[in-house]
Amino acid sequence: MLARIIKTLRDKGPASRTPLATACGLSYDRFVMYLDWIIQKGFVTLDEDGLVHLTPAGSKAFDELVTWILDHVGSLGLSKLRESSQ
Amino acid sequence: MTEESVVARVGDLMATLDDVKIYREFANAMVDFAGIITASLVAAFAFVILYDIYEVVAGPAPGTGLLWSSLGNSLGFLVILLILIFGVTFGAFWVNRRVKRTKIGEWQETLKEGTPGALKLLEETDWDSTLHAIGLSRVAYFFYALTKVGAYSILVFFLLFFAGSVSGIWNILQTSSAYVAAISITIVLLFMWRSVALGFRRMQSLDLLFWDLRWFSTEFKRAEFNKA
Repeated sequence: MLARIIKTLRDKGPASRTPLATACGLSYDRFVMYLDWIIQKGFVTLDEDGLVHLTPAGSKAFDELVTWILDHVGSLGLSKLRESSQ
Repeated sequence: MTEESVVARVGDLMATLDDVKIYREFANAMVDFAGIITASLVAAFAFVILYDIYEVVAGPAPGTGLLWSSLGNSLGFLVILLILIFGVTFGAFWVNRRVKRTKIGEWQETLKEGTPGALKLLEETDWDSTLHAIGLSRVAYFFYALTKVGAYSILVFFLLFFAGSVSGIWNILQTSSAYVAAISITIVLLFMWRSVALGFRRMQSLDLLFWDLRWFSTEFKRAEFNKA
């Protein structure tokens, strides 16, 4: 869910809370709960106009997540099983 | 390193896990398969016993003796063969039917979300159950290969015995049933060699996949983003 919030901010830029919650497919209450947590982590900030901004730390965390998935899923020998299934 | 690559790689992983789902269903279907084969063997022997009881009560028809001792009764052996052929065919059909009904590809919609969808899929995967299914599939493949060779060997055995008895070859060669059984198994192994080899290759691949996924699930549980 946190990845979804960060990705939405990366793709669409700063956004206010209600449209961001809608874009992430979350109820406002649940969204606020997640938002508080990622603000604490320093991944996003909230400005005076109520817009949520992605921080460099948030962007870096997302990149690290992408790298982790690529490295770990990429090193699985999936092709061998698929070949033997044909 | 783009999100498209993440989607492609997790898509590959999910497709492999779909294969595991199919193998799990296959393993479950093997219980049915064994039951069907056993039922057809029981039916074949029940037919022999009932036929012999009938012969004892009513007296054998001219030129025939008890079915088990007189292999010249072509109709009786044809019925046994038909029961066995029906058992193996129906068993294979049943396994196919169950395997084809496995729900796969349900993850595709979630993966369209990109990295968050990929992460959601990885989080929602029950790794322990997947690993258990792989272990079960390995046993199922071994059991399936064994049952298939066994079932076809029994069929070939009856065919050879029937053909040899009708033509009188077994009387000339003075062969024992054990010798015919050995010939039957050899014939079946020769014809099914490719299928048996493929089964063993798949078992090896499942073994590798088991260790790969065990490592991956441990790493995934330990990952920093997952602790949050």
